[in-house]
Amino acid sequence: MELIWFLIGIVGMGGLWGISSWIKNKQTKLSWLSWVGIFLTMVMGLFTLAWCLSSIWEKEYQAAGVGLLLFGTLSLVGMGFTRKSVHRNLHKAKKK
Amino acid sequence: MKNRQPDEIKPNRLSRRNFIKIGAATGASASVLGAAALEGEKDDALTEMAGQATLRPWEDLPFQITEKCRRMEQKYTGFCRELWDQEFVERIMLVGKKVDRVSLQKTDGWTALDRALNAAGWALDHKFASGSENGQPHSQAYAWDEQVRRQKVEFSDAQDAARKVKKAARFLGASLVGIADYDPLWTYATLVKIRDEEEESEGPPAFDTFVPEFPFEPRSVVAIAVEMDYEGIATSPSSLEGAATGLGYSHMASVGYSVATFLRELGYRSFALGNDVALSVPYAIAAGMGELGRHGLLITPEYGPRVRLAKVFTELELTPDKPRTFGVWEFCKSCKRCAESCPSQAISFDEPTLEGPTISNNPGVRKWYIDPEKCLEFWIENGSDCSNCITACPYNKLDLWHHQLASTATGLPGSPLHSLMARLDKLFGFGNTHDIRANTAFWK
Repeated sequence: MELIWFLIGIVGMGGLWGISSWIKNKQTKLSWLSWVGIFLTMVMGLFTLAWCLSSIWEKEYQAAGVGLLLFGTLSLVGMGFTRKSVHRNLHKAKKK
Repeated sequence: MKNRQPDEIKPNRLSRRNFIKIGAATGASASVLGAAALEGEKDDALTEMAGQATLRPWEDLPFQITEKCRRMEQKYTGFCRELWDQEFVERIMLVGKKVDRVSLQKTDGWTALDRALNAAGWALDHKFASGSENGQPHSQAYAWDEQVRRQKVEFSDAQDAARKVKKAARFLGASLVGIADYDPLWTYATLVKIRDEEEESEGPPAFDTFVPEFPFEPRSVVAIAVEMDYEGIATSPSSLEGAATGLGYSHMASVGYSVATFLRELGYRSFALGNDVALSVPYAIAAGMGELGRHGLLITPEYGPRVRLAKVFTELELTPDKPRTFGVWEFCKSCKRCAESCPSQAISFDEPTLEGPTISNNPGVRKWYIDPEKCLEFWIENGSDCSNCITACPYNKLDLWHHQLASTATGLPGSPLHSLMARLDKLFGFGNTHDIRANTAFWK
């Protein structure tokens, strides 16, 4: 179980590092809505991962599958909205 | 309840041996009854409580007890009715005759491997506490008159004593431990003891009833819960599930006796009890270990209903814990998974009441009464005990973060939310009974 949390920590930190470097590269400023979207999507994504791994750990494979489908879909929807919001920010920055 | 093997059943004769076997099968009902004799509720107050946060303490017992509630006579419990209630015995025997035990033996969960594990699970209970599971008092590990060290060890106060006793109980193997004040209401008014007769005779064994007179006046009760194996219970109703139950009984005897010995070595008269002499669930609730569920069992935040309960009566004064709630009462109102999964329809789908459907129910406490006669009938039909209500209960989970999160959410108000959670639990595949995959998964 500790290994699961370690893995989730690595993925979370990696994700944060990736996003911050990408934003730095683009040299743009994101709106508060985009930051909220990024935060919520990351939380939901990590929750999905943690749910699945924990369910597999306790040998409840149906719970892992349904969790992936349910929470994963929510993460994807969140990701879609966030992507749109971030692109809008980039588009505005380009125009300037 | 003791687990009876299919080939051991002689449905048309109730000898001493068969009584013990059948009695074993009634164990769950006994705990259920025990719990049942208890619960009830200050409904509005509890609803309000459930709507606030989790694990909130109560100042008093969280169930409504009316004047109709009296100390129960043990002879009315399911086990003991097999000794004198001819009509009840005939009904049970009729069920036993109809069962096709050959087909049972061929399925997963009933193989020689499973049955060997079942016997091993029950081994310690049968060796050191046989009879307690069907209510026989004052014997072996649960004897009342063990020797006590003469010099008493003094504690700074009752709180200090309680802390140390709880630490010792956990060290000795208790999964959960709490302290309650002794209350005579939960001790049977009269007990039943089967006579020791050398020769086995036809018909039910002879018995005596007597008023319990303990060698001392108990002041405190150490309530003990031992966890039952999750994967084993998931195979319900099978011989494998019986192994998990049996191991729970064995641990009860071991931990209960050890805790009582610890107290006696400190110089205080104490003795352990299993299912015999007094109800366990009321003490567990009073000791803050959990709440009563629709199925009449204690639901703990850590293991749900997947625990067995023992208690130790002691003359040492210990500071009692307070009852607490984490939303079970409200959640059980919406969730009926235990009732749906009960093969004998022994669990109520209705609102809580003040009396039950049979003479084995002790009236006067507001709660969901189960029908112990129907429950026992299925045990006979099944050839072993049954834990479907435990398996199906959404609180029956391993102690992991995501289940703790879900359990916390049950403390939030709102019956639609609770219904949704119960449905999601099903969707996620938790709590399936009669699940062949669980039997094969167990041995992997």
